[in-house]
Amino acid sequence: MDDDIYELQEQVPAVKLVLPRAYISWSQMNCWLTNKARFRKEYFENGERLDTKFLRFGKVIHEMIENGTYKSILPDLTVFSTNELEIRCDVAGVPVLSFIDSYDEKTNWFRDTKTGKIPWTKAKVQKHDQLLFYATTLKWKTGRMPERCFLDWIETREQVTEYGDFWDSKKELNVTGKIITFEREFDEREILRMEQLIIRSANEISEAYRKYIEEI
Amino acid sequence: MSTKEKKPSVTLTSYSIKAIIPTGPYANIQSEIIVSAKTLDEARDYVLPHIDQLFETYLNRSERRVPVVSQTKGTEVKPIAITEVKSANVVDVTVKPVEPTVAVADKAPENKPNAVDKATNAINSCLTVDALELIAKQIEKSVKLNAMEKLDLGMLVVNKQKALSAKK
Repeated sequence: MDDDIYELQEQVPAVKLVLPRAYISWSQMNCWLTNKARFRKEYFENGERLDTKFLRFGKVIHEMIENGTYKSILPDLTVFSTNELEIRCDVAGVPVLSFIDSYDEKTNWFRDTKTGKIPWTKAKVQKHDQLLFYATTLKWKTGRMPERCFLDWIETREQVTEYGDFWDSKKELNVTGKIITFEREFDEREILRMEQLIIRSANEISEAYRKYIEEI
Repeated sequence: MSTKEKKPSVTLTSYSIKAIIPTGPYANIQSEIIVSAKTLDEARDYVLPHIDQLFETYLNRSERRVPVVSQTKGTEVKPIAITEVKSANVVDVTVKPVEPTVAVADKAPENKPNAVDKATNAINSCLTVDALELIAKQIEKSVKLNAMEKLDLGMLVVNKQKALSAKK
């Protein structure tokens, strides 16, 4: 770990980070890496956040898991002892915030829940950097790198519900009850790669933000 | 039955407004306008337009872009004429705008509304004191914002500062 920190510290620049939020989160980093124009609009220009009925539904499921009411619709879902764990820490000088859906302190394992119509695959889980992001923040917060995590895909389906006459109907999103769980292990090298990505993204965001402010 | 008129117990003897106008990095002018008037409203109504004029003329003057004028043979650009009209206590500075005889290559910035919107959005969206400080400094030195806009944005910055401090 000491060698890794030394290597990372070489990358930490002397210029102070100025960030629009007080931290870097997965959503910010992912938005920055995939769509800089949307990032600018949402985080620099106080624009509206992306909001779809699918995102809202996912949020509702997460809330149900947090407060325990999920059992009525998802009795087969496995959750750990701590839900919606908030992690605030510094990753090599970069303030980071993450929310882990479900966490077990004894094993240092965690679970992430995804809802959607299209099933996840082992390959997709392996490539999904959000899990690596969470593992990295856990490592810096607890001092222990998590060995593994689980991704629970909860299938959803839109169904038409009629409220009387045939024209008085609405499409509603709901869970089908089908859950597929994927296990993912972590490697030191990929955690280091994520740490470097976090630092690089934070620096880029800070630089872009300074330039944006200079346009005033 | 006649009612006695109450004489005012306070007489306005003088009214002054002091303005410190930044003209550039580590530079400013400090002007004070002192008048005597019968009422506060009269005095204020007289003094404030002069203060506004001073801001318009001198604010960040050293950092303002100078229009690039391309000269053709036989033409010359007339200099700006400045006249000062002095009375006992009032300084009045009048600036005659230049009428260029050749094309001006650099037009005045047309994006003033954008600068205000940008600044407002930046203030509203930032959640760190460091970012707010940077925004405040930029507002102060911006050539795209006039004095009144900077004052208004300054108030937004102060309110945001309070909100961020309250969160801590």
